[in-house]
Amino acid sequence: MAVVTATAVLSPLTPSDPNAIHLEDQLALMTIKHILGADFHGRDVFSRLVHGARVTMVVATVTVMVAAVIGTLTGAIAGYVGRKVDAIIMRTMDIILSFPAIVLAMALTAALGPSLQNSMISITVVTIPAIARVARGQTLVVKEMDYVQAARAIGVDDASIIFRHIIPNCLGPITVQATLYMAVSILTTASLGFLGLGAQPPTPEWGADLAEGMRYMREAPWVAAFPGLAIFTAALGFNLLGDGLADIMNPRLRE
Amino acid sequence: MLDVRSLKTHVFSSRGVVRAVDGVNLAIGVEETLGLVGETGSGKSMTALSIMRMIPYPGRIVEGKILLEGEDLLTKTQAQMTNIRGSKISMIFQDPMTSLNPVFKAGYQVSEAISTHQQLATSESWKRAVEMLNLVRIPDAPTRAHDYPHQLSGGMRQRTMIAMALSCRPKLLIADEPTTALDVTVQAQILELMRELRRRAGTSILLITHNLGVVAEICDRVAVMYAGKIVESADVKTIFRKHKHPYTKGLLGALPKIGSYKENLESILGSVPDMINPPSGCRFHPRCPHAKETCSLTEPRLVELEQEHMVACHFVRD
Repeated sequence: MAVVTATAVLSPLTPSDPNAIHLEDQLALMTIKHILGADFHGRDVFSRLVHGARVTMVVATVTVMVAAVIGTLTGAIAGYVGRKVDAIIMRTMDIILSFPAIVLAMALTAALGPSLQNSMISITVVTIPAIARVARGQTLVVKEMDYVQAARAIGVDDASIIFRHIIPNCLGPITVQATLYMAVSILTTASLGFLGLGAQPPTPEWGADLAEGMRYMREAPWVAAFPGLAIFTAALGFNLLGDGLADIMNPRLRE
Repeated sequence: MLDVRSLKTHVFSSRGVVRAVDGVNLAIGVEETLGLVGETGSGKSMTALSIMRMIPYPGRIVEGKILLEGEDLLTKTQAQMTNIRGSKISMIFQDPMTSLNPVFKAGYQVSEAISTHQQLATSESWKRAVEMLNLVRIPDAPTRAHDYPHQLSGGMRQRTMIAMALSCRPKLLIADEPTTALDVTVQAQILELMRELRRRAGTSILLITHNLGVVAEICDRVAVMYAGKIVESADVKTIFRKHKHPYTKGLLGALPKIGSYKENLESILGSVPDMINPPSGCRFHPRCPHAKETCSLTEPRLVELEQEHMVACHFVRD
């Protein structure tokens, strides 16, 4: 995970332009010049991987952050206000959740038109319900706490209670959930890219590169293998981070 | 000051209507402390929450008047109530361990109570918060204000709660078992503090408790509640010496006395009735040692026996 993040941040320092075409190096093997080889257009696989990390991290971070903010707000409001508002918000979320995330993301992206930006929008949409559910569940627990009652008893209004007393006490589980969804977001981005619905060529994106590499699997397996490996590692990294966070936040293991 | 008239709060559960508070009359004078006593489930806390207008769903106040300085709180909108809470009536809760928000500093929580009702600069409300913490005798308040709740002891947290509740000088403080969760020595300190603050700020207190020792310590008058109704009310001395209702007698009998040795403490047989189908007639009759036939048929009215001494029992004259 740390490696992926570092790579993404440091990507502008890589030796060669990820889109630079060296026709003489078409599908070149791993050499000093191209340490992970080159693809069909003679582009350096390593550079594309490194720059792809950047695209992936930006997409994953932005989508999950936006989804976390919207999901937390809607979930907390649903949980706090309850009854009708709760029913309307959560049933809407259930409708979104009733589709497999990837299918819905594909449909949305296809409808909006394939592009990186539209794939980000659809990934955000499919991530919101997951966060909202956790936020609502946590709100239901927190709103019964004595300190929320005590705050009401000294005349704190509902909006301040949600923002100052409920949301801060819900952030732990939401953070864990959001981190886990980073992994899902990375996979979905790559999937959409792979299917040609996400980042459009020549943007270096792992999913799209993987799809392109597939065509030369026999002649030059490295072109497909490395983006695949990168997706796998990044997703695994975020999953492990999420699990780690869950352990840290577990009060029984703390102190 | 506060006048509660025939208050009825019912909870509409799926099993039926729970008559948690069923026609309660209470009056508290200025600077007076009224103890509301009763077993768990007798409706004490529901009465308190009704006065705060903080009955959780599916409960509802179905009838009655709650007059605070002549104004009926039941006619207020939620927004008006939010304004009244904290500035006119405040409440402190039983468990100081969970009544403070774990993510904020103690001082911040008191200053939140202040700034909710007054437009003040942050630094100004912080200063006032520290003053309040000082007033409730938190040692070294300016430094302690920066502590988080988990760094404070139970007694200090309850002091912080009191500071929050009193920061806007409410006319009425409702204390729901404020000392139950504390050590005995700390209990005494908190009671002493409440007594002192009452004198200083001129606050009336509605103290909800099942601890008769606490009642004797701090209350002026006592109302004994059973199954959603007040069964006896009088000043403290009368309640302890000349109580009439068998339930009051039972409560006092269950209290150990220093200096007299008893093999077994007396207990009241049975438990608080199911309030969906309360017993007919006098609600205490299934557990009352003196119950006669009339008790199960007609409900005794609350009659004034002497000045300020009200009892609801058919055999009060005997």
